[in-house]
Amino acid sequence: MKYSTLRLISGAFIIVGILLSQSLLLRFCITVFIIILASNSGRKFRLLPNLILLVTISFAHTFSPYGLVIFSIGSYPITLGALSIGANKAFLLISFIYASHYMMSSRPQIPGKLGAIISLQFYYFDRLTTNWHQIEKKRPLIGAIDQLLLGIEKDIDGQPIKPTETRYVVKKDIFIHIFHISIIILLLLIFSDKAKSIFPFIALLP
Amino acid sequence: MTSHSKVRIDLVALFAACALFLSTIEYMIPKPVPFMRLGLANIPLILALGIFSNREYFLLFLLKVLGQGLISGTIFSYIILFSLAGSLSSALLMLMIYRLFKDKVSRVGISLGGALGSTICQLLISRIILFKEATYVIAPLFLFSGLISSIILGLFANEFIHKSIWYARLKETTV
Repeated sequence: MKYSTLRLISGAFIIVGILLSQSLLLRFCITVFIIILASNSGRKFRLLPNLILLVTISFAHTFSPYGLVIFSIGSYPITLGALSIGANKAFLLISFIYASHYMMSSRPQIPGKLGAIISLQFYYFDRLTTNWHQIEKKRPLIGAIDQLLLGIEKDIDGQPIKPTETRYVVKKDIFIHIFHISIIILLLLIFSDKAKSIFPFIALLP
Repeated sequence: MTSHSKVRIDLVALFAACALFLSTIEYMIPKPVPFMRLGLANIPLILALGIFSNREYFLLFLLKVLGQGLISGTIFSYIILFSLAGSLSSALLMLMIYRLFKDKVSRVGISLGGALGSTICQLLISRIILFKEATYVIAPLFLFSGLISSIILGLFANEFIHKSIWYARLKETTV
């Protein structure tokens, strides 16, 4: 098995973990873990854009007030429930973006015709999420989108994407990836209903 | 598979990646009512008309639905059924309108048709399995918001087709 395929499989497990996580704290933990993994695989981590994403999504959700009012700006209520939903969504997005990078950075080839297309789709998605900030700076919007797409289109030559990581898996790699998946499973178990019934303080966490 | 058809498949993947990217942007925007969507991820589907064959178009539709399900976390829940049925009826209607009327209908008209198909289909499913009679209460709001957002998306698609160098080049090379 190629190393890129192993990373794809472990990334798929991590994505399932992201989707299964409901609690805000659990999603935060998984997000941090995925950021560490993606940074190790070469993705540059910048705190500010992620922080802006978190703040804007959370704030945007306050337009639909829900739950306890924490404070008010004039007559505009800032509610805990709305902030929490927004933050939850932001963590889901951030973790998904980093997870897709983690999976696709070594450009694995998913077997089959559909698999090849899906791996290309995620490869281009990774390119879009890495370069999308160009859109913010350049004006007009359509010109900026053009620039972004023309840059990505250069890669389209009808050839299958070549894996950047061509080496084969060794025992150590398998252990490391099993360890990564185990951390996700452990986090999911810690925040599970069963754990909450044994350790009631977990239920008090956000 | 010839090199030309491989390039076309690559383009389907690029359009699907754009749909996935737009799904993430849409996911950031709060919804006043659950299930209500802007439908940003439909832009690649509207733009793909006239570029891809029917088969490629439905492949793009499938990738878009899967991507949307993954981003919104609904891929393993019954909500994906709503998305699948709505997107399928919307894609079918948009393709039919385009094939029947070609350039006689603008992208606004195509987008409106797609939104109408998607909303009616989702309301029907909602009537059968979820909200029963209460569906009639939310129907006007759904239809109205769907129409407004589809007009905006159609206007953007029209503008993009007229102004984008990338799209013009793509149309030249693929058609």
